[in-house]
Amino acid sequence: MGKFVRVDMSTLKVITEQVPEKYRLLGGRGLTSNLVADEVDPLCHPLGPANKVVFAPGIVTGTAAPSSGRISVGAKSPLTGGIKESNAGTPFSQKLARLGIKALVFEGLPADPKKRYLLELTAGGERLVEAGDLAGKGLEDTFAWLARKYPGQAYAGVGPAGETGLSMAGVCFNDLENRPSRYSGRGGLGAVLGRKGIKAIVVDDSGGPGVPLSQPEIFAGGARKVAEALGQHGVTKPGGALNSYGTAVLINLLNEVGGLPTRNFSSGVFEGAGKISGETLAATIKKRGGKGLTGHRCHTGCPIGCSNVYPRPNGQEHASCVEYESDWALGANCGIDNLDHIAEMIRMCNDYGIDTIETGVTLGVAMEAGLAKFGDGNRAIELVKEIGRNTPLGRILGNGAAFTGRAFGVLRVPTVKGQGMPAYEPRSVKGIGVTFVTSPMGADHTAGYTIASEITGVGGKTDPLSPKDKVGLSRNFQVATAFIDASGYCLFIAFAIIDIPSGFVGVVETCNGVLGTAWTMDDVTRIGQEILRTEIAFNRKAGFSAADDRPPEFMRREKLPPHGSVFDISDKDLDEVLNF
Amino acid sequence: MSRAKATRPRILRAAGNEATGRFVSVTLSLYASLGRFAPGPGQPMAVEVEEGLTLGELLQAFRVPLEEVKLVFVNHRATVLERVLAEGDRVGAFPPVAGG
Repeated sequence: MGKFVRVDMSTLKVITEQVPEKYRLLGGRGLTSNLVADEVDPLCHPLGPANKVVFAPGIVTGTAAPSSGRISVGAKSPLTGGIKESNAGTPFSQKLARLGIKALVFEGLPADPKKRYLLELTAGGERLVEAGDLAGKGLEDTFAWLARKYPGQAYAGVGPAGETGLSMAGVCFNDLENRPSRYSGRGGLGAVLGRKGIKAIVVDDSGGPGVPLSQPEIFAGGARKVAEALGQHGVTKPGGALNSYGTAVLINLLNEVGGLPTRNFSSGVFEGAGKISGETLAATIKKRGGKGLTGHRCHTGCPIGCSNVYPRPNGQEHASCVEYESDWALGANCGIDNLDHIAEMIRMCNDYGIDTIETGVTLGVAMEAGLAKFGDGNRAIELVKEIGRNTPLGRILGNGAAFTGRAFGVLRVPTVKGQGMPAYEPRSVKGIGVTFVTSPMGADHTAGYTIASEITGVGGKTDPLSPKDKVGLSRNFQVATAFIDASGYCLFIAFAIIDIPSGFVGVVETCNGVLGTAWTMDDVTRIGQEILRTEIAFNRKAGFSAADDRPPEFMRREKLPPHGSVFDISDKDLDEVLNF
Repeated sequence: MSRAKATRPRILRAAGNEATGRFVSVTLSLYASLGRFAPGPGQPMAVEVEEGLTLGELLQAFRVPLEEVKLVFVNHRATVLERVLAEGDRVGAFPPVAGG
C-alpha cells in the first residue's frame, strides 16, 4: 500500500517504488528523518547532489481525522548543518496522501543549474516538465500562474530566495484559496529544493486511491474522540482563543510573563505589545472588514481555524497570515508596533519564499548592528527588500541571523545550531529554552512546546522561571511531539489532548485504524524516542557534539528584564535531556 | 512599567471588610474574551482599590465570571485569585489561551 516517488534531478527521471517494509509504519517526520538518515551522507554539502529533499504526509493525513493536513519536509539543513524536518498545514498534504504517495524524494542536481522544473503528480503518473518561465518569479505570481494552469490542484514551490540558495528559504504550500502562505519555513529547505532546480510541484488527486483504512471502525472511533476533545477545549473549540484571535493571542500573554523577546532579545517585555496583540489584530480585521478574516482554515477538516487574512485599511487583502511567530519576529523583536508594517513584511516573506521567524530574528541582529533603528518599520521593510533584490546585503541577511551576526560582529545573536530562536525568551521561560538548546532541529519551539505547561497551564502548571524539573518537561514534550509530527496531526491538537486524555487515545486509535497496528500510549513514547535517536545520530555524524546543545553565551551572562534572570540550566542537565 | 492614564480610577471596597480608608493603586488588563468586561479596549485600566482587596474580588467588581478566568498574573508572575493586591501591582487576566 502506498508508494515512494523518487525524482532524480541528475537524470531528470522519475521512478516509483513500493514502500519498503522498513518504512511501512512511518509517516511525516518519522519518514522524512529516517529516509534522510538512511540515504543522505551527513557530511554532504546541503546544497549539493548528495542531499535529498523528502516530502511526507503524516500517517492519518488525507483521512477524515480532524486537523490532520500536515506535511513534513526533510533534508540536511543548510542553516544548521544538521538534520531538519519542518511541517506545514496545507491541502497539498491531503492530496499527496490521497494519491497514495507516502514519500516524495528529490535527489541529485540538474546538469544545467539555470534550468527550472515543475513536477506534475496525478493518478495517471508523474511528469517532470521544464518551467523556465517561472525562473526568478515571486511566489504570488508563481501560485497565480499555477492556479490558472492547474485549477483545483494543490501546489508547492520555492521563491527566488530558494533558487538562489539562501539559508532562510522555505518550501511554500497553498492554502484553501491558493495563497502562497503555508510554509515548511525553517532551516532553509527551500534552498535545497530550489538548487535542485525544482520551482514547483502540482498535485491532482482526482482518481487517486485515497488513504485506505485497515481498521475502519477503530479509526472512526478514534477520530470521534479527537474531534470531541478539540470541540470541548477552551483553546481549540469554535469561538475559542485560537479561532477568535489566532495564535497572536500569545503576544499579550508572553508579555505578561516577561517572556516576549524584545529588540533582539534584550528585554522580555515590549511596551508596544498591545498594538500588535491578537486582540488588536482581530479588532482591526473586524473594523476594516472587506477581505479581512479571522478563524481562517489552512486546510479542509480543521475545526480549529487559527489562521487569518489581514486587510489593508481599504479592506483589500494585505497578508495571510499574521500569526504569533511572524507577528513577534517582525514586530516586538524589531521593536516594531505597527501591524501594517508587520503584515507587509509577512507578505514579502511569503512572496520571496523566506521564513518569517528567521527573517525577524535576522532583522533584530541587523538592528543591533546599526543597519536600522529598533522600531523603524519602514527601514525594516527596505532591509527585507534587499533579500528580494538579491543584493550583497540581501545575501548576508538571507543567510540568517547567525551569518548576519558574524558579518557585522554582533555579540547578541539568539541562535542555537545556527537557527534563530522563536518567540519565547529562554531566560524567562526555561523549559522552552531547554527545548531550543537541545532539539536536533536547532532553536525550534514546536520541537517540545513546554509553553503549554509553563505559561498556558495546559497539562498542569510549572513555574517558567524555575530551572527545576525542566529537563524532564522538555524531554517529554520533545518525545510526544516527534510522534505527533509523524502522525500528521497539527501540533495544536496537543492543547486539547493533553487536558482531555481520551483525545490522545483517539489520536493513537486513528493511527491504528490506518496502519492496522495495535499501538498503545507506550508506543507513542517508543516511536517518539526512536525518531529523536535517529535525528541525533545523524547530527553526531554531521559533526555535532554536546557543545552544540548549548545556549548562546550572552543568555548565561546578561540579566534579562523584567525578572533579572539568566539561563541557568546546567550543561550537565542539558546533556541529560535526550539521553535515552 | 507605565501607568495607564486613559481610564478614570475606580474605588473598590473589599467585600465584608471594615472600611479602612486606605487605598492602593493597581492596573488591570483583561485579555482575549475577558476584554468584553473592560470599559475601554486595549489600555490597562488604572484602578484604586481598598487595602486588602484580592485579585478575584477585583475581577468580580468588573463582573468577570471567575469560571472564565484561567490565568492570572501580578507583576509578570503567575498567581492566584486569592492574592491580596499591593500598591503598584500590574494585574493581567486571561481565559484559556494558547498558540504557537
